[in-house]
Amino acid sequence: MLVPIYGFVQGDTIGVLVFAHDDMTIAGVIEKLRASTSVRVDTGATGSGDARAWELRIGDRVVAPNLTVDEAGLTALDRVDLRRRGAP
Amino acid sequence: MHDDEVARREDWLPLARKLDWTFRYVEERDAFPEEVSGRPWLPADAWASWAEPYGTTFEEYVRIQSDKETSLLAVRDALGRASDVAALDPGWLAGVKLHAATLPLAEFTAAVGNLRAARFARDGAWRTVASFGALDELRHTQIPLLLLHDLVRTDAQFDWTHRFYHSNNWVAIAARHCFDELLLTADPIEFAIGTHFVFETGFTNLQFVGMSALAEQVGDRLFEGMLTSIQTDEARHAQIGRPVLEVVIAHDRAYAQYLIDKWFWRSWLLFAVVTGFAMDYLMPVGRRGPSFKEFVEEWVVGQFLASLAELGLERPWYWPIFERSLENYHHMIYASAYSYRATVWFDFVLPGPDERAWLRRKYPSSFSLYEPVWDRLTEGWRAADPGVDLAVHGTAIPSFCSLCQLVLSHGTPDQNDATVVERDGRKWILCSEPCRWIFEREIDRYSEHKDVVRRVLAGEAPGNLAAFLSQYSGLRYEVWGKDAHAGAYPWLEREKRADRRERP
Repeated sequence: MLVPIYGFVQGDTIGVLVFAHDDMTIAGVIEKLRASTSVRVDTGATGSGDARAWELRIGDRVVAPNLTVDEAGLTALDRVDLRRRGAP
Repeated sequence: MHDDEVARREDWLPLARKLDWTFRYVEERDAFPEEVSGRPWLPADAWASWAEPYGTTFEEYVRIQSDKETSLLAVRDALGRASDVAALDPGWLAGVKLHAATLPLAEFTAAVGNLRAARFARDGAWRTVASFGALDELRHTQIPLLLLHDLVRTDAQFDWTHRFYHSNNWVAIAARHCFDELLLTADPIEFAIGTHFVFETGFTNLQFVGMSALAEQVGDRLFEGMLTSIQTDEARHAQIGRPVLEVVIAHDRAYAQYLIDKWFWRSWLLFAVVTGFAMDYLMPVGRRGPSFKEFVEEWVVGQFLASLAELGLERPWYWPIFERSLENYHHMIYASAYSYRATVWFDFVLPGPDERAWLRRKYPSSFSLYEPVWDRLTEGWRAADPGVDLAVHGTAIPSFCSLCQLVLSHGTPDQNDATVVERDGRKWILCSEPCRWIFEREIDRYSEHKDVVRRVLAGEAPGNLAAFLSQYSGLRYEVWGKDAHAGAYPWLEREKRADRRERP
Protein backbone atom coordinates (compact mmCIF):
# COMPACT_ATOMS: atom_id res chain seq x y z
CA MET A 1 0.00 0.00 0.00
CA LEU A 2 1.23 3.47 -0.89
CA VAL A 3 1.51 5.80 2.11
CA PRO A 4 1.63 9.60 1.53
CA ILE A 5 3.91 11.24 4.11
CA TYR A 6 4.70 14.88 4.86
CA GLY A 7 8.48 15.27 4.97
CA PHE A 8 10.52 18.14 6.38
CA VAL A 9 14.26 18.27 5.75
CA GLN A 10 16.43 20.30 8.08
CA GLY A 11 17.69 23.32 6.15
CA ASP A 12 14.73 23.39 3.77
CA THR A 13 12.08 26.08 3.45
CA ILE A 14 9.05 23.92 2.63
CA GLY A 15 7.52 20.56 3.46
CA VAL A 16 7.07 18.06 0.65
CA LEU A 17 4.78 15.12 0.11
CA VAL A 18 6.46 11.78 -0.60
CA PHE A 19 4.85 8.45 -1.34
CA ALA A 20 6.30 5.31 0.21
CA HIS A 21 5.17 1.70 0.02
CA ASP A 22 4.46 0.30 3.45
CA ASP A 23 7.22 -2.31 2.95
CA MET A 24 9.79 0.32 1.91
CA THR A 25 12.63 0.76 4.40
CA ILE A 26 13.15 4.00 6.25
CA ALA A 27 16.51 4.23 4.45
CA GLY A 28 14.47 4.34 1.24
CA VAL A 29 12.27 7.12 2.62
CA ILE A 30 15.41 9.05 3.56
CA GLU A 31 16.68 8.75 -0.01
CA LYS A 32 13.32 9.92 -1.37
CA LEU A 33 13.32 12.96 0.87
CA ARG A 34 16.90 13.85 -0.03
CA ALA A 35 16.13 13.58 -3.74
CA SER A 36 12.87 15.53 -3.39
CA THR A 37 14.56 18.51 -1.75
CA SER A 38 17.96 18.47 -3.47
CA VAL A 39 17.16 21.57 -5.54
CA ARG A 40 17.24 23.62 -2.31
CA VAL A 41 19.21 21.58 0.24
CA ASP A 42 22.62 20.01 -0.12
CA THR A 43 22.26 16.69 1.68
CA GLY A 44 25.20 15.07 -0.13
CA ALA A 45 25.21 12.73 -3.10
CA THR A 46 22.09 10.58 -3.31
CA GLY A 47 22.76 6.84 -3.17
CA SER A 48 26.07 7.47 -1.41
CA GLY A 49 27.34 7.15 2.13
CA ASP A 50 26.30 10.76 2.73
CA ALA A 51 22.90 9.41 3.76
CA ARG A 52 24.44 8.21 7.01
CA ALA A 53 24.80 11.82 8.13
CA TRP A 54 20.98 12.04 8.31
CA GLU A 55 18.36 10.42 10.47
CA LEU A 56 14.60 10.20 10.18
CA ARG A 57 12.50 11.22 13.16
CA ILE A 58 8.86 10.80 14.01
CA GLY A 59 8.32 13.43 16.68
CA ASP A 60 11.32 13.04 18.97
CA ARG A 61 11.83 9.38 18.08
CA VAL A 62 14.72 8.45 15.78
CA VAL A 63 13.65 5.62 13.48
CA ALA A 64 16.10 2.87 12.56
CA PRO A 65 16.81 2.91 8.81
CA ASN A 66 16.31 -0.83 8.43
CA LEU A 67 12.70 -0.74 9.65
CA THR A 68 9.92 -0.65 7.10
CA VAL A 69 7.37 2.15 6.89
CA ASP A 70 4.81 -0.20 8.39
CA GLU A 71 7.14 -1.32 11.20
CA ALA A 72 7.94 2.29 12.01
CA GLY A 73 4.22 2.91 12.55
CA LEU A 74 3.90 5.47 9.78
CA THR A 75 0.43 5.99 8.42
CA ALA A 76 -1.03 8.29 5.76
CA LEU A 77 -0.40 12.02 6.23
CA ASP A 78 1.98 11.63 9.16
CA ARG A 79 4.82 14.10 9.57
CA VAL A 80 8.44 12.96 9.50
CA ASP A 81 11.60 15.03 9.87
CA LEU A 82 14.93 14.37 8.22
CA ARG A 83 17.60 15.94 10.38
CA ARG A 84 21.37 15.84 10.57
CA ARG A 85 22.40 13.03 12.86
CA GLY A 86 22.58 14.32 16.42
CA ALA A 87 21.00 17.70 15.64
CA PRO A 88 18.86 19.02 18.51
CA MET B 1 -37.53 77.88 4.19
CA HIS B 2 -38.38 79.72 0.95
CA ASP B 3 -38.60 77.91 -2.37
CA ASP B 4 -35.45 79.55 -3.71
CA GLU B 5 -33.34 78.58 -0.71
CA VAL B 6 -31.15 75.52 -0.86
CA ALA B 7 -31.19 73.45 2.28
CA ARG B 8 -27.96 73.62 4.17
CA ARG B 9 -25.88 70.43 4.22
CA GLU B 10 -25.94 70.16 7.99
CA ASP B 11 -29.74 70.43 8.00
CA TRP B 12 -30.47 67.43 5.81
CA LEU B 13 -27.37 65.25 5.93
CA PRO B 14 -27.90 63.66 9.37
CA LEU B 15 -31.39 62.51 8.35
CA ALA B 16 -30.31 61.39 4.90
CA ARG B 17 -27.32 59.34 5.98
CA LYS B 18 -28.53 57.96 9.30
CA LEU B 19 -32.09 56.89 8.67
CA ASP B 20 -33.53 54.15 10.87
CA TRP B 21 -37.05 52.93 11.45
CA THR B 22 -39.05 51.82 14.44
CA PHE B 23 -40.64 48.62 13.15
CA ARG B 24 -44.37 48.05 13.65
CA TYR B 25 -45.22 45.17 11.31
CA VAL B 26 -42.17 42.97 11.83
CA GLU B 27 -39.89 42.23 14.71
CA GLU B 28 -36.49 43.85 14.60
CA ARG B 29 -34.96 40.39 14.82
CA ASP B 30 -36.80 39.41 11.65
CA ALA B 31 -35.71 42.50 9.76
CA PHE B 32 -32.11 42.01 10.90
CA PRO B 33 -31.73 38.28 11.63
CA GLU B 34 -28.63 37.32 13.57
CA GLU B 35 -27.60 34.80 10.90
CA VAL B 36 -27.18 37.61 8.37
CA SER B 37 -26.64 40.73 10.48
CA GLY B 38 -24.12 39.07 12.76
CA ARG B 39 -23.51 38.58 16.43
CA PRO B 40 -23.78 39.75 19.09
CA TRP B 41 -27.37 40.52 18.18
CA LEU B 42 -28.23 43.74 19.99
CA PRO B 43 -31.33 45.95 19.97
CA ALA B 44 -31.20 49.08 17.80
CA ASP B 45 -30.48 51.32 20.80
CA ALA B 46 -27.08 49.68 21.20
CA TRP B 47 -26.06 50.92 17.75
CA ALA B 48 -27.70 54.37 17.95
CA SER B 49 -24.46 56.25 18.61
CA TRP B 50 -22.65 54.64 15.64
CA ALA B 51 -20.70 57.29 13.71
CA GLU B 52 -17.88 57.61 11.20
CA PRO B 53 -15.91 60.78 10.54
CA TYR B 54 -16.30 61.32 6.79
CA GLY B 55 -20.07 61.96 6.56
CA THR B 56 -19.89 62.00 2.77
CA THR B 57 -22.97 62.86 0.72
CA PHE B 58 -23.81 61.01 -2.49
CA GLU B 59 -23.25 64.19 -4.52
CA GLU B 60 -19.81 64.64 -2.96
CA TYR B 61 -19.01 60.99 -3.51
CA VAL B 62 -19.84 61.10 -7.21
CA ARG B 63 -18.03 64.38 -7.80
CA ILE B 64 -14.85 63.30 -6.01
CA GLN B 65 -14.80 59.89 -7.70
CA SER B 66 -15.33 61.51 -11.10
CA ASP B 67 -12.35 63.79 -10.50
CA LYS B 68 -10.22 60.79 -9.53
CA GLU B 69 -11.25 58.92 -12.67
CA THR B 70 -10.33 61.90 -14.84
CA SER B 71 -6.88 62.13 -13.25
CA LEU B 72 -6.24 58.43 -13.55
CA LEU B 73 -7.29 58.25 -17.20
CA ALA B 74 -4.94 61.14 -17.95
CA VAL B 75 -2.09 59.13 -16.46
CA ARG B 76 -3.16 56.11 -18.48
CA ASP B 77 -3.22 58.11 -21.71
CA ALA B 78 0.21 59.56 -21.03
CA LEU B 79 2.01 56.55 -19.53
CA GLY B 80 -0.07 53.42 -20.02
CA ARG B 81 1.30 52.28 -23.36
CA ALA B 82 2.75 48.81 -23.58
CA SER B 83 6.11 50.35 -24.51
CA ASP B 84 6.11 52.39 -21.27
CA VAL B 85 5.52 49.25 -19.24
CA ALA B 86 7.98 47.11 -21.19
CA ALA B 87 10.73 49.55 -20.21
CA LEU B 88 10.25 48.74 -16.52
CA ASP B 89 12.43 46.31 -14.58
CA PRO B 90 11.23 42.69 -15.09
CA GLY B 91 11.41 41.95 -11.37
CA TRP B 92 9.21 44.93 -10.57
CA LEU B 93 6.73 43.86 -13.25
CA ALA B 94 6.55 40.44 -11.61
CA GLY B 95 5.46 42.19 -8.39
CA VAL B 96 2.83 44.14 -10.32
CA LYS B 97 1.47 40.87 -11.77
CA LEU B 98 1.32 39.33 -8.31
CA HIS B 99 -0.65 42.32 -7.02
CA ALA B 100 -2.84 42.51 -10.12
CA ALA B 101 -3.96 38.89 -9.91
CA THR B 102 -4.54 38.62 -6.18
CA LEU B 103 -6.29 41.87 -5.28
CA PRO B 104 -8.66 43.31 -7.97
CA LEU B 105 -11.14 40.43 -8.07
CA ALA B 106 -10.89 40.06 -4.31
CA GLU B 107 -12.09 43.66 -4.23
CA PHE B 108 -15.09 42.54 -6.25
CA THR B 109 -16.02 40.08 -3.51
CA ALA B 110 -15.64 42.95 -1.05
CA ALA B 111 -18.39 44.72 -3.01
CA VAL B 112 -20.66 41.81 -2.01
CA GLY B 113 -19.61 42.11 1.64
CA ASN B 114 -20.34 45.83 1.58
CA LEU B 115 -23.70 45.29 -0.10
CA ARG B 116 -24.69 42.82 2.60
CA ALA B 117 -23.82 45.52 5.14
CA ALA B 118 -25.74 48.10 3.09
CA ARG B 119 -28.86 46.05 3.81
CA PHE B 120 -28.23 44.18 7.06
CA ALA B 121 -25.89 46.42 9.08
CA ARG B 122 -27.58 47.61 12.24
CA ASP B 123 -27.27 51.38 11.84
CA GLY B 124 -28.37 53.72 9.05
CA ALA B 125 -25.09 55.61 8.83
CA TRP B 126 -23.19 52.34 8.65
CA ARG B 127 -25.46 51.18 5.83
CA THR B 128 -24.91 54.45 3.96
CA VAL B 129 -21.15 54.34 4.07
CA ALA B 130 -21.24 50.61 3.21
CA SER B 131 -23.12 51.56 0.03
CA PHE B 132 -20.27 53.87 -0.91
CA GLY B 133 -17.87 51.08 0.04
CA ALA B 134 -19.55 48.74 -2.44
CA LEU B 135 -19.18 51.34 -5.20
CA ASP B 136 -15.54 51.80 -4.18
CA GLU B 137 -14.82 48.11 -4.47
CA LEU B 138 -16.38 47.86 -7.91
CA ARG B 139 -14.09 50.69 -8.95
CA HIS B 140 -11.09 48.87 -7.45
CA THR B 141 -11.94 45.86 -9.56
CA GLN B 142 -12.59 47.70 -12.79
CA ILE B 143 -9.58 50.02 -12.77
CA PRO B 144 -6.88 47.29 -12.78
CA LEU B 145 -8.90 45.16 -15.21
CA LEU B 146 -9.08 48.12 -17.57
CA LEU B 147 -5.53 49.44 -17.22
CA LEU B 148 -3.76 46.10 -17.32
CA HIS B 149 -5.87 44.56 -20.08
CA ASP B 150 -4.04 46.68 -22.64
CA LEU B 151 -0.81 44.95 -21.63
CA VAL B 152 -2.02 41.39 -22.30
CA ARG B 153 -1.23 41.61 -25.99
CA THR B 154 2.49 42.05 -25.21
CA ASP B 155 2.71 40.02 -22.00
CA ALA B 156 0.26 37.15 -21.50
CA GLN B 157 1.05 36.92 -17.77
CA PHE B 158 -1.06 40.07 -17.32
CA ASP B 159 -4.06 37.98 -18.41
CA TRP B 160 -3.96 36.53 -14.91
CA THR B 161 -5.34 39.82 -13.59
CA HIS B 162 -8.68 38.42 -14.69
CA ARG B 163 -7.97 34.70 -14.94
CA PHE B 164 -6.43 34.04 -11.51
CA TYR B 165 -9.54 33.58 -9.36
CA HIS B 166 -11.15 31.43 -12.03
CA SER B 167 -8.28 28.94 -11.87
CA ASN B 168 -7.23 26.13 -9.55
CA ASN B 169 -3.79 27.62 -9.13
CA TRP B 170 -2.64 26.89 -5.59
CA VAL B 171 -2.25 30.58 -4.75
CA ALA B 172 -5.79 31.17 -6.03
CA ILE B 173 -7.08 28.32 -3.85
CA ALA B 174 -5.42 29.96 -0.85
CA ALA B 175 -6.67 33.44 -1.68
CA ARG B 176 -10.22 32.20 -2.31
CA HIS B 177 -10.20 30.31 0.97
CA CYS B 178 -9.45 33.53 2.82
CA PHE B 179 -11.45 36.03 0.79
CA ASP B 180 -14.56 33.92 0.27
CA GLU B 181 -14.89 33.75 4.03
CA LEU B 182 -13.84 37.29 4.83
CA LEU B 183 -15.36 39.27 1.96
CA LEU B 184 -18.04 37.16 0.34
CA THR B 185 -19.82 35.33 3.15
CA ALA B 186 -19.03 37.07 6.45
CA ASP B 187 -21.85 38.84 8.25
CA PRO B 188 -21.55 42.65 8.49
CA ILE B 189 -20.04 42.56 11.98
CA GLU B 190 -17.28 40.09 11.14
CA PHE B 191 -16.82 41.84 7.78
CA ALA B 192 -16.44 45.24 9.46
CA ILE B 193 -13.90 44.02 12.00
CA GLY B 194 -12.01 41.57 9.78
CA THR B 195 -12.03 43.62 6.59
CA HIS B 196 -12.30 47.27 7.58
CA PHE B 197 -10.47 47.31 10.89
CA VAL B 198 -7.81 44.64 10.35
CA PHE B 199 -7.37 44.08 6.64
CA GLU B 200 -7.88 47.59 5.28
CA THR B 201 -6.67 49.75 8.12
CA GLY B 202 -3.63 47.59 8.63
CA PHE B 203 -2.60 45.66 5.58
CA THR B 204 -3.99 47.41 2.51
CA ASN B 205 -2.31 50.55 3.80
CA LEU B 206 0.91 48.60 3.60
CA GLN B 207 0.19 47.36 0.10
CA PHE B 208 -1.21 50.52 -1.41
CA VAL B 209 0.85 53.20 0.33
CA GLY B 210 4.05 51.17 0.48
CA MET B 211 3.82 49.84 -3.06
CA SER B 212 2.89 53.21 -4.54
CA ALA B 213 6.04 54.66 -2.95
CA LEU B 214 8.06 51.89 -4.57
CA ALA B 215 6.27 52.41 -7.89
CA GLU B 216 7.42 56.00 -7.83
CA GLN B 217 10.98 54.81 -7.16
CA VAL B 218 11.02 52.57 -10.23
CA GLY B 219 9.23 55.12 -12.41
CA ASP B 220 5.98 53.13 -12.77
CA ARG B 221 3.63 56.13 -12.82
CA LEU B 222 0.65 54.11 -14.03
CA PHE B 223 0.77 51.65 -11.12
CA GLU B 224 1.53 54.46 -8.69
CA GLY B 225 -1.48 56.45 -9.92
CA MET B 226 -3.73 53.42 -9.74
CA LEU B 227 -2.74 52.55 -6.17
CA THR B 228 -2.99 56.11 -4.93
CA SER B 229 -6.43 56.56 -6.45
CA ILE B 230 -7.66 53.34 -4.85
CA GLN B 231 -6.12 54.01 -1.45
CA THR B 232 -8.07 57.25 -0.96
CA ASP B 233 -11.28 55.20 -1.14
CA GLU B 234 -9.94 52.58 1.23
CA ALA B 235 -9.10 55.22 3.80
CA ARG B 236 -12.73 56.34 3.83
CA HIS B 237 -14.63 53.08 4.01
CA ALA B 238 -12.07 51.53 6.38
CA GLN B 239 -13.54 53.92 8.98
CA ILE B 240 -16.52 51.57 9.33
CA GLY B 241 -14.45 49.12 11.33
CA ARG B 242 -13.63 50.90 14.53
CA PRO B 243 -17.13 52.03 15.60
CA VAL B 244 -18.45 48.51 14.97
CA LEU B 245 -15.62 47.05 17.00
CA GLU B 246 -16.32 49.45 19.87
CA VAL B 247 -19.92 48.25 20.14
CA VAL B 248 -18.92 44.57 19.98
CA ILE B 249 -16.26 45.10 22.66
CA ALA B 250 -18.87 46.66 24.92
CA HIS B 251 -21.11 43.58 24.66
CA ASP B 252 -18.87 40.61 23.86
CA ARG B 253 -15.21 41.40 24.39
CA ALA B 254 -14.06 37.80 23.91
CA TYR B 255 -15.66 37.59 20.46
CA ALA B 256 -14.15 40.94 19.44
CA GLN B 257 -10.72 39.70 20.51
CA TYR B 258 -11.20 36.44 18.59
CA LEU B 259 -12.11 38.23 15.37
CA ILE B 260 -9.08 40.49 15.70
CA ASP B 261 -6.73 37.59 16.39
CA LYS B 262 -8.13 35.45 13.60
CA TRP B 263 -8.15 38.05 10.84
CA PHE B 264 -4.82 39.63 11.72
CA TRP B 265 -3.15 36.26 11.32
CA ARG B 266 -4.93 35.31 8.12
CA SER B 267 -4.28 38.75 6.59
CA TRP B 268 -0.64 38.61 7.64
CA LEU B 269 0.07 35.36 5.81
CA LEU B 270 -1.37 36.61 2.53
CA PHE B 271 0.30 39.99 2.64
CA ALA B 272 3.64 38.43 3.56
CA VAL B 273 3.44 36.82 0.12
CA VAL B 274 1.92 39.65 -1.91
CA THR B 275 3.82 42.54 -0.34
CA GLY B 276 6.83 40.70 1.08
CA PHE B 277 7.88 39.25 -2.26
CA ALA B 278 7.55 42.58 -4.04
CA MET B 279 9.36 44.71 -1.48
CA ASP B 280 12.27 42.45 -0.54
CA TYR B 281 12.89 40.35 -3.64
CA LEU B 282 11.27 41.67 -6.82
CA MET B 283 11.99 45.40 -6.39
CA PRO B 284 15.37 46.26 -7.99
CA VAL B 285 17.84 46.44 -5.13
CA GLY B 286 19.21 49.84 -6.11
CA ARG B 287 15.76 51.38 -5.77
CA ARG B 288 14.76 49.80 -2.49
CA GLY B 289 14.13 51.85 0.60
CA PRO B 290 12.76 50.34 3.79
CA SER B 291 12.46 46.58 3.95
CA PHE B 292 9.15 44.73 4.14
CA LYS B 293 9.74 44.25 7.85
CA GLU B 294 10.34 47.98 8.34
CA PHE B 295 7.19 48.80 6.37
CA VAL B 296 5.18 46.35 8.49
CA GLU B 297 6.58 47.77 11.70
CA GLU B 298 5.71 51.30 10.64
CA TRP B 299 2.38 50.80 8.87
CA VAL B 300 0.92 47.79 10.61
CA VAL B 301 2.44 47.00 13.98
CA GLY B 302 2.72 50.45 15.50
CA GLN B 303 -0.72 51.60 14.46
CA PHE B 304 -2.41 48.28 15.12
CA LEU B 305 -1.05 47.87 18.63
CA ALA B 306 -1.86 51.49 19.46
CA SER B 307 -5.45 50.97 18.30
CA LEU B 308 -5.80 47.79 20.36
CA ALA B 309 -4.47 49.56 23.43
CA GLU B 310 -6.91 52.46 22.96
CA LEU B 311 -9.76 49.99 22.69
CA GLY B 312 -8.64 48.01 25.73
CA LEU B 313 -7.95 44.85 23.71
CA GLU B 314 -4.97 42.56 24.12
CA ARG B 315 -2.37 42.02 21.43
CA PRO B 316 -3.01 38.62 19.79
CA TRP B 317 -1.83 35.69 21.95
CA TYR B 318 0.54 34.58 19.18
CA TRP B 319 2.46 37.88 19.06
CA PRO B 320 5.89 36.29 19.71
CA ILE B 321 5.16 33.87 16.83
CA PHE B 322 4.19 36.81 14.63
CA GLU B 323 7.42 38.64 15.48
CA ARG B 324 9.44 35.58 14.48
CA SER B 325 7.29 35.25 11.37
CA LEU B 326 8.07 38.83 10.42
CA GLU B 327 11.75 37.90 10.35
CA ASN B 328 11.28 34.64 8.45
CA TYR B 329 8.01 33.80 6.76
CA HIS B 330 8.36 35.65 3.46
CA HIS B 331 11.97 34.47 3.16
CA MET B 332 10.82 30.88 3.67
CA ILE B 333 8.01 31.10 1.19
CA TYR B 334 9.90 33.11 -1.46
CA ALA B 335 12.75 30.59 -1.58
CA SER B 336 10.17 27.79 -1.78
CA ALA B 337 8.16 29.52 -4.48
CA TYR B 338 11.33 30.34 -6.45
CA SER B 339 11.99 26.61 -6.63
CA TYR B 340 8.39 26.02 -7.76
CA ARG B 341 8.08 29.11 -9.97
CA ALA B 342 6.43 27.23 -12.84
CA THR B 343 3.42 26.75 -10.57
CA VAL B 344 2.54 30.47 -10.64
CA TRP B 345 1.92 33.16 -13.27
CA PHE B 346 4.72 35.63 -12.50
CA ASP B 347 8.50 35.51 -12.65
CA PHE B 348 11.07 35.45 -9.86
CA VAL B 349 14.45 37.05 -9.29
CA LEU B 350 17.37 35.04 -7.96
CA PRO B 351 18.98 37.20 -5.26
CA GLY B 352 22.60 37.88 -6.16
CA PRO B 353 25.48 39.29 -4.08
CA ASP B 354 24.02 42.82 -3.89
CA GLU B 355 20.52 41.63 -3.02
CA ARG B 356 21.83 39.23 -0.42
CA ALA B 357 24.00 41.92 1.17
CA TRP B 358 20.90 44.15 1.42
CA LEU B 359 18.85 41.33 2.94
CA ARG B 360 21.62 40.53 5.45
CA ARG B 361 21.67 44.17 6.48
CA LYS B 362 17.88 44.37 6.84
CA TYR B 363 17.44 40.97 8.51
CA PRO B 364 20.61 40.51 10.59
CA SER B 365 19.08 37.89 12.86
CA SER B 366 17.51 35.66 10.24
CA PHE B 367 18.73 36.00 6.67
CA SER B 368 21.88 33.94 7.26
CA LEU B 369 19.55 30.93 7.65
CA TYR B 370 18.55 31.27 4.00
CA GLU B 371 22.00 31.70 2.47
CA PRO B 372 22.62 27.94 2.07
CA VAL B 373 19.33 27.60 0.14
CA TRP B 374 20.27 30.44 -2.22
CA ASP B 375 23.79 29.01 -2.55
CA ARG B 376 22.24 25.73 -3.61
CA LEU B 377 19.86 27.32 -6.13
CA THR B 378 22.72 29.43 -7.51
CA GLU B 379 24.86 26.31 -7.90
CA GLY B 380 21.97 24.82 -9.81
CA TRP B 381 21.98 27.68 -12.31
CA ARG B 382 25.77 27.55 -12.56
CA ALA B 383 25.44 23.96 -13.74
CA ALA B 384 22.55 24.68 -16.13
CA ASP B 385 22.27 26.63 -19.35
CA PRO B 386 20.47 29.99 -19.24
CA GLY B 387 16.77 29.62 -19.85
CA VAL B 388 16.62 25.96 -18.80
CA ASP B 389 14.38 26.79 -15.88
CA LEU B 390 13.24 23.29 -15.06
CA ALA B 391 16.83 22.24 -14.37
CA VAL B 392 16.62 24.42 -11.24
CA HIS B 393 13.14 23.53 -10.12
CA GLY B 394 11.40 21.32 -7.59
CA THR B 395 9.75 18.12 -8.75
CA ALA B 396 8.15 16.76 -5.57
CA ILE B 397 4.60 17.71 -4.65
CA PRO B 398 4.72 20.61 -2.19
CA SER B 399 2.52 20.39 0.88
CA PHE B 400 -0.20 22.82 1.96
CA CYS B 401 -1.76 24.10 5.18
CA SER B 402 -5.32 22.89 5.85
CA LEU B 403 -6.32 26.38 6.96
CA CYS B 404 -4.51 29.07 4.97
CA GLN B 405 -3.91 26.70 2.00
CA LEU B 406 -0.45 28.18 1.52
CA VAL B 407 2.58 25.92 1.37
CA LEU B 408 4.00 24.57 4.64
CA SER B 409 6.71 27.18 4.98
CA HIS B 410 6.19 28.63 8.43
CA GLY B 411 9.06 28.53 10.92
CA THR B 412 12.71 28.51 9.93
CA PRO B 413 14.89 26.23 7.78
CA ASP B 414 16.04 24.62 11.01
CA GLN B 415 12.56 23.91 12.35
CA ASN B 416 9.40 23.96 10.27
CA ASP B 417 6.34 24.81 12.40
CA ALA B 418 3.87 22.45 10.67
CA THR B 419 1.68 20.50 13.05
CA VAL B 420 -0.73 17.61 12.50
CA VAL B 421 -4.24 17.59 13.98
CA GLU B 422 -6.03 14.26 14.34
CA ARG B 423 -9.77 13.90 15.01
CA ASP B 424 -11.93 10.80 14.64
CA GLY B 425 -9.31 9.04 12.56
CA ARG B 426 -8.84 11.96 10.15
CA LYS B 427 -5.73 14.11 9.87
CA TRP B 428 -5.07 17.68 8.85
CA ILE B 429 -1.78 19.53 8.74
CA LEU B 430 -1.46 23.20 9.73
CA CYS B 431 1.49 25.44 8.88
CA SER B 432 1.68 27.14 12.28
CA GLU B 433 0.18 27.25 15.75
CA PRO B 434 -2.10 30.23 14.97
CA CYS B 435 -3.49 28.44 11.88
CA ARG B 436 -4.03 25.36 14.06
CA TRP B 437 -5.79 27.45 16.71
CA ILE B 438 -8.16 29.04 14.18
CA PHE B 439 -8.80 25.67 12.51
CA GLU B 440 -9.69 23.99 15.79
CA ARG B 441 -11.91 26.89 16.92
CA GLU B 442 -14.04 26.55 13.79
CA ILE B 443 -13.33 22.99 12.72
CA ASP B 444 -16.82 22.43 11.29
CA ARG B 445 -16.30 25.38 8.98
CA TYR B 446 -12.88 24.35 7.71
CA SER B 447 -12.47 20.59 7.94
CA GLU B 448 -14.17 19.62 4.68
CA HIS B 449 -12.17 21.95 2.46
CA LYS B 450 -9.73 20.05 0.26
CA ASP B 451 -6.24 21.43 -0.01
CA VAL B 452 -4.16 20.62 -3.08
CA VAL B 453 -2.72 17.45 -1.53
CA ARG B 454 -6.19 16.10 -0.71
CA ARG B 455 -7.30 16.88 -4.26
CA VAL B 456 -4.34 14.88 -5.59
CA LEU B 457 -5.02 11.99 -3.21
CA ALA B 458 -8.70 11.99 -4.15
CA GLY B 459 -7.78 11.79 -7.83
CA GLU B 460 -9.30 15.22 -8.52
CA ALA B 461 -5.93 16.76 -9.44
CA PRO B 462 -2.98 15.12 -11.20
CA GLY B 463 0.01 14.13 -9.06
CA ASN B 464 2.40 14.70 -11.95
CA LEU B 465 3.79 18.25 -11.93
CA ALA B 466 3.53 18.88 -15.69
CA ALA B 467 -0.07 17.67 -15.79
CA PHE B 468 -0.86 19.57 -12.61
CA LEU B 469 0.35 22.82 -14.21
CA SER B 470 -1.22 22.47 -17.60
CA GLN B 471 -4.41 20.53 -16.89
CA TYR B 472 -5.32 21.70 -13.40
CA SER B 473 -3.72 25.08 -12.70
CA GLY B 474 -4.52 26.62 -16.07
CA LEU B 475 -0.89 27.42 -16.81
CA ARG B 476 1.00 26.89 -20.04
CA TYR B 477 4.69 27.23 -20.76
CA GLU B 478 4.46 30.75 -22.21
CA VAL B 479 2.76 32.01 -19.06
CA TRP B 480 4.09 30.07 -16.10
CA GLY B 481 6.68 31.69 -13.88
CA LYS B 482 10.34 31.55 -14.77
CA ASP B 483 13.50 33.19 -13.59
CA ALA B 484 13.03 36.84 -14.60
CA HIS B 485 16.52 36.89 -16.13
CA ALA B 486 16.50 33.31 -17.41
CA GLY B 487 19.28 32.56 -14.93
CA ALA B 488 21.67 34.78 -16.91
CA TYR B 489 22.98 37.14 -14.25
CA PRO B 490 26.17 39.15 -14.79
CA TRP B 491 27.44 38.02 -11.38
CA LEU B 492 26.81 34.33 -12.05
CA GLU B 493 29.78 32.79 -13.82
CA ARG B 494 29.15 29.44 -15.39
CA GLU B 495 31.57 26.60 -15.61
CA LYS B 496 32.55 25.61 -19.11
CA ARG B 497 30.12 23.01 -20.34
CA ALA B 498 32.73 20.23 -20.41
CA ASP B 499 33.67 20.97 -16.80
CA ARG B 500 30.12 20.77 -15.48
CA ARG B 501 29.35 17.73 -13.43
CA GLU B 502 25.98 16.40 -12.67
CA ARG B 503 24.88 17.65 -9.27
CA PRO B 504 24.09 15.16 -6.55
